[in-house]
Amino acid sequence: MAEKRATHWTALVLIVLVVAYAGILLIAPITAIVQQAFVDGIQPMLDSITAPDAREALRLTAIIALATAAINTVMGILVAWVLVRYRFPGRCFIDGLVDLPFVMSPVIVGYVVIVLFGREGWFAGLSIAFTPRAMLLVTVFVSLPFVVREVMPVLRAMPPEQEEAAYTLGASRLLTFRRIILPTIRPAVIYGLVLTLARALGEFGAAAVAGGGVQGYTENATIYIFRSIHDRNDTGAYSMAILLGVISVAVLLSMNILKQVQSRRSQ
Amino acid sequence: MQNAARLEQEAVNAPRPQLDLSGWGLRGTAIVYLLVMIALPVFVVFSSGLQAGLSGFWDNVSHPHAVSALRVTLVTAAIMTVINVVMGTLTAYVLVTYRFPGKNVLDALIDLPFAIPTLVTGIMLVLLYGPQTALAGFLQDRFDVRVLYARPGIVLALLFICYPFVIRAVQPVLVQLDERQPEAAYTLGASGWYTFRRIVFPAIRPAMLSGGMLGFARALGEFGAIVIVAGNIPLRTQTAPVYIYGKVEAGNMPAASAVSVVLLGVALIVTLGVDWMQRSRQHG
Amino acid sequence: MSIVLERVTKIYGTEQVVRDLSLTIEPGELFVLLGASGSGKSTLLRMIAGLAATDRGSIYLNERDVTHLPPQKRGVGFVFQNYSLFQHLTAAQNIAFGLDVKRMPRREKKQRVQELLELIELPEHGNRRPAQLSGGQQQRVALARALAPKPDVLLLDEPFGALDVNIRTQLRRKLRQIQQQLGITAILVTHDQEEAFELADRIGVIEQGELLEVGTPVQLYRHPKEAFTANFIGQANWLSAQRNGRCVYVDHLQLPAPENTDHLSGHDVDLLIRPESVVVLPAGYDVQNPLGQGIVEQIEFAGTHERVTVRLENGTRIQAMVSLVDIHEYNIQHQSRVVVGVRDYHLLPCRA
Repeated sequence: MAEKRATHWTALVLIVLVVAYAGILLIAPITAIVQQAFVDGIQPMLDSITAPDAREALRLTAIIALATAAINTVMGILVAWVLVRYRFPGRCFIDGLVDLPFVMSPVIVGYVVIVLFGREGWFAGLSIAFTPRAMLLVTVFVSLPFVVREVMPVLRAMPPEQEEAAYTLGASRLLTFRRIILPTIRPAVIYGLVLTLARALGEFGAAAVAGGGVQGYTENATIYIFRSIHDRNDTGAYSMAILLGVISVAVLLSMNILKQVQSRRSQ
Repeated sequence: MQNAARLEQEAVNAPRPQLDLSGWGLRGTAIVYLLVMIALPVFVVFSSGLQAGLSGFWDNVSHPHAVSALRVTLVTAAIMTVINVVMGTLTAYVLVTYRFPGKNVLDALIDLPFAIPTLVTGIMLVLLYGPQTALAGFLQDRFDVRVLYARPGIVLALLFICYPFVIRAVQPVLVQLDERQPEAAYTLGASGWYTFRRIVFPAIRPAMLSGGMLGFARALGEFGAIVIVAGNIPLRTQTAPVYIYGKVEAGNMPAASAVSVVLLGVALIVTLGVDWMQRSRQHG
Repeated sequence: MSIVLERVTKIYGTEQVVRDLSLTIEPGELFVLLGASGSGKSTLLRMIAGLAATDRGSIYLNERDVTHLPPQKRGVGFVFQNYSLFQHLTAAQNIAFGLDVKRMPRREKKQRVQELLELIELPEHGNRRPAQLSGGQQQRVALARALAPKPDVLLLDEPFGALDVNIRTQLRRKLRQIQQQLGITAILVTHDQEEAFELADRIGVIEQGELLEVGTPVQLYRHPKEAFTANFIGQANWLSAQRNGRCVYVDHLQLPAPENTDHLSGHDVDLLIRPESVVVLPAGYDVQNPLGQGIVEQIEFAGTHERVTVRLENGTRIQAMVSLVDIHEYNIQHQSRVVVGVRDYHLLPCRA
């Protein structure tokens, strides 16, 4: 009996500890920013994020995020499929490469773009550095692993007999992919896509270095926030930060719900 | 014969080489894509960092500002990792083991740092602990602790960003842990704490380690949040990524590249170590 | 639709998983490839389907060389051990898959699917998803799916391996019935000799990638050419013997030589005696072809029979299947003194 009582108390202490930690670490900062939104009312915020430079920054962020999502979904599925289904020399090495963007500092990523495409770069002639293309490139890089890593375990768990059955029934590779593989990996693809989008929306360091942060040309939403802080335009910085945060969280939430609905439907 | 059976089984399960060209085309595309997108950048970092030879590299790395930036980065990331492993494991354990009101909300919140742009994280911390806030004044007066524009701020930002790593690594292992194992321990007379130490802990240790190390590697490169909260005072709160950023902006490529080599090198060693650990565990 | 394999070989790494194997399967035949796991039987089946590449040799389906055709172009139906139904499609959609590939018109397709659902006796289960079906039902759907595009050949890879014993028996009968009804040429791979006996027109015994022996179940059981076959199919007593003149000598005993064994004359041979061909009677009785007297060492209940182990005076152990009636009538018990005779036996060249 004494034993049980002790566990009971341990449980309570542990739960309180964990909730308090999450509260201080996660919830307090979020509350702080939400509170900030209501200090001066909504109107000044709306004004600042509908200003031309803010709109331009948002537009660039949206375009790059969508393009990144498209590229990384297609290439991510391809890479995952090749890594799971084929055996070739150096596969382990290639497999290990995929995670690298997770640990490479965004600043270094941007720096690499400058070295490759900058004014004295290896491929200076391609005029990629300090353009939106450079920002797209780095954003694709930093979010490359998401779809791959979500899809790979699902593909691996999918018995190869499923594909083989389709082949023996006369289905071409493409048809097999569309009708058999894609439906199976769809939830994983969607989840990877969400993470990609969230990451792409918030990319700052790499985009700032590679794009140069030219206002109205290579300034995305995060760079806008950074510039606003420097310019002591706190309202602009905070409103854009809130907007970005809300969009990211909303994307994550909605796709999470979609994923749940889908997995429920397939059962 | 058993060997032959295994061989055939492997032959059946193994990814099968295909003869047709489309297979090679897809494979080639994927491999070339990864090599260009990922291997090339790594190559660029190391080759440009060592372009001026080892002595040139050493001169740049041993500059007091560079040394300090690397030290600040490593120390804050290490402190964060220790806290993160302990609290992350605890959180995962509580989430898997107990039922309590708000549990689902907490579980959903954990992925939040993955979604929120780190620059926004930095701003949230500024709003919470900024010089003009009541909390900052309280902490300053009572405990003489400065959070913002100081190292605690860096650690706090890193903790926020790396919050999910350990939890999401440990949680599935705990869920899969056969609940009969602890039960067997109880029937053998082991107490709760003893059972955790001898049964649960060994099972989750690899996940704790790999989650912690991946968080550490991630933290080494963090820029967006830190550039906001750290104040970037050379020799005190300037981290390596911020240092690199400054050098790139100033056009001092040799200095940027030298520190990049060290930073990326450490991150690579850590991730390769984790990878190796997981592989040897799977095969061993 | 015949299947002809000419000296086919499959190599994985340095291992020859299938070795120089030739085989002809007649139209409408149900051929069973019987072998232990790792014998190469599944690989051979996958080669015929085009799921594994053939490294050497040729494969002909109905006199058409398909050796280098992809599985899509071979016109084979394949049934996998683990059903491998498409999890996100219903039973009917699974069956319709191969028809979709052929772009069969909707109405015709619907009719064909219903036909097949009825063939496998699941007419009401078309809308179920695989997860809602039992293992046996899933495997029946998998069979219907393979049959739907009217393949020329049906290939089954341990199709009953994952099922319970009684469902397995039911499904075997069902499969045999459907195969005969459609007159389709079929190859079934299994390690289960009982299954092979029940289903096969002919059995091919495969071991280490080589086809040891082909024959009807009765041929292989009663007159195997290889000791491996004799041991793999059913139980066996082995005695060392010599064949001389018209007789077979086992130690000092003498048995009449079976027919068609003159080529073994003057050689050491192995004598194969199936347990059900052994006669066990109390000592003193007359038996045909006596092997000698001995003591009953062990009696095990084996359902319709008792499995009796007798230790002969010269130390040899003989296993016999004795009917329950005889056990009681002759009061055969543990430690009884008995005399052992043989009704039937078979000679093989000496293994050594």
